[in-house]
Amino acid sequence: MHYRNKIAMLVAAAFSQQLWAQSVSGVVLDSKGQPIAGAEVSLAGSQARVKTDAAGTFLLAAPAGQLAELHVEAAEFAHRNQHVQVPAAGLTNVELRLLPTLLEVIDVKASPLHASATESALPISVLSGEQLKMQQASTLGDTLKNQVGVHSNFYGSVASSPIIRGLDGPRVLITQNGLDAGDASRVGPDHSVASEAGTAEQIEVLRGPATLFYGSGAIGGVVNVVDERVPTRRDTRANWQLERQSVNNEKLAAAAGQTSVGDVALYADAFWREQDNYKIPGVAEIGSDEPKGGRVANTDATARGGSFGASYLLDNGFVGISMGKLDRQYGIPGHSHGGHAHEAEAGEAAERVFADLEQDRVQLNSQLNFTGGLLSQLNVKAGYTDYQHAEIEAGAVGTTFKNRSEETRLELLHREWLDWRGGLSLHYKHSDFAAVGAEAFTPPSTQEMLALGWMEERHFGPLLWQVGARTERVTIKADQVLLPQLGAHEDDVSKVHGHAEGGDSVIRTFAVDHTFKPYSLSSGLVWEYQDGYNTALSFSHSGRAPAASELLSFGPHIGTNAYEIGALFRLNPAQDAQQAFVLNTAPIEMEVSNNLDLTWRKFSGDVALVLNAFYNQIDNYYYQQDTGLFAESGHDHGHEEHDHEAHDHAHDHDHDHDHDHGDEHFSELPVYWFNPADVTLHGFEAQLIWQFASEWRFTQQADFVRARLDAGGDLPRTPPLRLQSALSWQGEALSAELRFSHYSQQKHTENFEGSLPGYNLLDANVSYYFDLGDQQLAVYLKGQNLTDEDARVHTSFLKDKAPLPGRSLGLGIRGEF
Amino acid sequence: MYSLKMKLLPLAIASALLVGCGDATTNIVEKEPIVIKDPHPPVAPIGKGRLLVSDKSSAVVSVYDLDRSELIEQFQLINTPDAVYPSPGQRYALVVQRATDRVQVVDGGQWQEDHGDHLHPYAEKPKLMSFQLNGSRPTHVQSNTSTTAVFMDGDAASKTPAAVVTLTEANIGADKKDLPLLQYDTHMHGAAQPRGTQLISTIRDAASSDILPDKVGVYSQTAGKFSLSQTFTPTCPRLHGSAQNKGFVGFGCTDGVLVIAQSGSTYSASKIANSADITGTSRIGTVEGHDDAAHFVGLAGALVFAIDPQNKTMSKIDWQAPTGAGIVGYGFTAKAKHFVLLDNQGYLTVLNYSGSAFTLAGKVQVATGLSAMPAGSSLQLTLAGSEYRAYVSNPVNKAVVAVDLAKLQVTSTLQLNYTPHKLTWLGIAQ
Repeated sequence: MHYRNKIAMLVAAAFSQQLWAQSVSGVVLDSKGQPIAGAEVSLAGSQARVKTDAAGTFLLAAPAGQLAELHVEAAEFAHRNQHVQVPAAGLTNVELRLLPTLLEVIDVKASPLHASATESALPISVLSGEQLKMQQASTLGDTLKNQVGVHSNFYGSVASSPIIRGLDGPRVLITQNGLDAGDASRVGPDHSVASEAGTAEQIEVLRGPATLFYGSGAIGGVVNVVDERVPTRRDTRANWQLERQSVNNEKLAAAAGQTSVGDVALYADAFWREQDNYKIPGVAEIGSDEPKGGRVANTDATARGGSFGASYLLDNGFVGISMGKLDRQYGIPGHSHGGHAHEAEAGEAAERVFADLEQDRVQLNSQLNFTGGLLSQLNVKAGYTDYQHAEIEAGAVGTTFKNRSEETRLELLHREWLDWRGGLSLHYKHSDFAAVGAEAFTPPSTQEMLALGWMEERHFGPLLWQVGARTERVTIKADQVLLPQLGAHEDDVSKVHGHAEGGDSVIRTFAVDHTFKPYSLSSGLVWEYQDGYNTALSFSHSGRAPAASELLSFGPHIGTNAYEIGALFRLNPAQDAQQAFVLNTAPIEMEVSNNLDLTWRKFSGDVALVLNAFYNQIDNYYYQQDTGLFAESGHDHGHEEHDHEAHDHAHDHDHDHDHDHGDEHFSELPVYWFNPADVTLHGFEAQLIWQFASEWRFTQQADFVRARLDAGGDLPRTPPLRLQSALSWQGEALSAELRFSHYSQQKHTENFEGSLPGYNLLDANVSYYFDLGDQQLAVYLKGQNLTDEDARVHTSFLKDKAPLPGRSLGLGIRGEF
Repeated sequence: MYSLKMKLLPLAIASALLVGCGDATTNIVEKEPIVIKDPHPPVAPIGKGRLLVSDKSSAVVSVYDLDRSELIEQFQLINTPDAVYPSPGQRYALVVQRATDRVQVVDGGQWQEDHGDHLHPYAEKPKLMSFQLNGSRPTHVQSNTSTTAVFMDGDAASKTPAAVVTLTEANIGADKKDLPLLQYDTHMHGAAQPRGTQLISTIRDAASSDILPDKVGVYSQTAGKFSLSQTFTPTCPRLHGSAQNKGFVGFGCTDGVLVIAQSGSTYSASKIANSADITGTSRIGTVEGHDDAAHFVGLAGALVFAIDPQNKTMSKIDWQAPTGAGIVGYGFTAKAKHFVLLDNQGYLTVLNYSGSAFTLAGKVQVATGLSAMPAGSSLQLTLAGSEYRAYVSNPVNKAVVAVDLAKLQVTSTLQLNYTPHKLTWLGIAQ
């Protein structure tokens, strides 16, 4: 595509020369005037970054004769940005005062503007440092499940991915260092996210539409997994971790390190993770007569990977490249055809179904800062990802999913102009998606996106105004969209159905070319009306082009236990026994969200409190409607792939997507059809942190979302109300935390969706810190689900087949220097 | 120069992107469809079924697809068939070649399997099975819902005794050779009704000069051989014709109908005496039954009787026989809601059966010009697995007509190029 050449030209154009003249020095103090040691002071728009000494003082190089923005971060203090005019002679005695905070305040790497939990109009949370090390799990969903507003769609501990405010799948973008993860995880809940928490530096969650930064895939939010694979620092540091869990014998070894040689920074990481099927206190499948206390079949996994990166550090930035590789084999639980989803009886091996995932990823990352001209900073991110996963059953490859993608993002930040900071972003993404095999429910497609975004912010005294707009052009091309014959019996003859009625079967084939031009607008205000308090209001209007899987699917999807049919098709009004679905000739609409977000924060002092409320109205929300029909999965009979039949069942099925048969020879799936409907989601998140003694801290979190169809009814698998309380103690050499989570029963369910009981989880961990030479080590013990609760996750597609793991004790050690 | 480009490019892209902002267009071009060859042609799973018709003057039997009204297969058998009967599930036709002591079997190609929660239909090409029965003078073939009993009369001239074999559809498919056998020590024109693993079968005194038996007994199976375990006291003089339903077996006798009642594994016999309508040498020589019907239907010449084995009554059914009518075909419909009679005057009479009484529903003329009926031929009737369809073969005009029993009209005609002799419907009952 010719866009790419132009983007490459832009990168080349970005290099220009500048001079670094003078120094800025000063001191960082707390609110009582005491010096803060170890605070990091950086110069916005440059790589200049120093730490304060024991007296709180710092010395930093800065361009002379210009307005400079200093950014100060220190643990347990709110970040601070201060503008200073650097005279030709340099500047001394700058005094920077920080307010203490109990909130985690870490900058979101992906935003070109500074954004952290206390500063943004949109709710942001960041999991990093020790918290990340303690909460990391084999799946991204399980790693983030304790973040406020984030739930896991729990897919048997092997493929869980995060749900943000009730939205997941193609509405939540998963990125690695700001670029699309480039996997198949947005297409099906049984597809694992191709990223690893074990080597991540931080994981950022942007709740609510983050379409301005990331594009229309982020209408529900973004999860950005950040690591230092493209190094940006000169110092030498490393961290490692070893852990073992009892419930599934999970073993983790992960290490990451970086150093520099001259102006070249080097980075490497590697991890290895292995887990067996996990233990449960009850039975796997609801209603099963197997003995309690077994294991859930096909929840084992082995993963290993690593990445290597090198950067050339310039005076005014860096240019780096990295290569990463990920291999993962994981079981696919609940993938059964006749009720063998659970561990088999003694002596009888369970059907082994697993996925074999491989991903190669090359990333380029660069930041260049300029002193002269209109442009103050140019950020370039580019990535190439080659992903594939094969689903293997009984030793044979059933279906292979491939996704080859390229992505480039340029951010051009202008010099501060009339106190406005901001810039443009130019974003291009191309992906080639193919699914081949028996369960290839989506035809091969090519998707291309080109977008232009604009973001600005300006302080008006205590008021920060953030505005942005983005326009996109998304094309989806598919040459081979199939419309197979799918019969629908009126079923006047009970218990009887047939193969395709006589003769040859004809599959209609289409070449489909969609073009969508979604746009997004956003405006937010943050008002720091008093030191340590602010309130924020944000409105965004976001468009989303439906994903290829939502438009073009036509086939059995075992991951959701459904026969999925895309919006390009519609129910045949003519009630043809051989053709239940026909081509939809009505216009394909874009999904459009209007989201209002209100935040109130108290972030300093011994009590921190953050309250968020949101109201999100989404028109043309693509979701899978139950058609009441059933279709052969075409799986067990050795049928031709397209020899499908659907028919009405006289009987009801009593839970979403799961349809059990007493019949072991034959598998049928309920037919779900992606049909847009207007929906409204609203809810809140609340987080209270109370430091009631110098070593004690109490945290209380709550989140709730209500997801309704405007025409009446509820969306399926919506997270229930959750309350979480944590008590933590932090001493010199010891720390401990006790966490209690209550998940209520979700009573607002889709028609055929069951309502499972609520449950409580009790987790605890203890860490002991010590030094060994230059290394800081921590040995930790972590307990999860200590009461061995038999819990089923309402948001899971497998809620009837795979409960949460039982009690687990983990022992780990980690170190860093 | 570069910086100029940098400024212009976003502008150019912005204007390109902004045109039609918010639009969605979809372009669909239909391509050549993919055609997947049907692995099982011809396929008609639960359609109208198939018809097997035998030729009066050759050993060829023909199988027709009733949905397409076309010939799909012909088979050359060994000898000209005398009779055709369906197997219990109506998948196979048992083609009886009495004079040459043989039964051959044709698979109609349509059947269904019980898959637990549903019955799975199959449709394949008809084929001639390797399964055969060889025995002296196979004559009466009687089936219940699972088992068929073939009565082989034996032969007085060659002193070949009679025998009965029982078989199932699975036995046919597996070409089973050593079928359960009842070996008599004398010949007879008898009848046997299968009941579970037992047989209710006729007994003839070897010393009798009559070829027809006069007693009935229970035969039980041990190691594949049937032996007499009970002889019923009431006799059945000149026994001819038998039928069964869920609880009873009936045999036609000159003095009435012998009824065997089954209760678990015990049997008891009683006699229902002939009604006053039966006079002279007239007698019930044909009995018909159906699992879903409480009554048997007995035929005495052109007289038709409802026989209640429970209450031991026999009452005449007024079927308004056309003048000079002789009954040439009869039977309960698939769900026994009707009883159908075919007479030699070319009329099909449909009786409604309520469970307690038979009443006339109406008649439909299915053939004319029957004075030209070849010698040894007659109209023949077969009832489909659907409640409202019957087929009648007509040797005069060499055709088979389909009759809608609800509308009482002929709906289609299948023209043959040979003189039809016997026929049976095959397929999946609905």
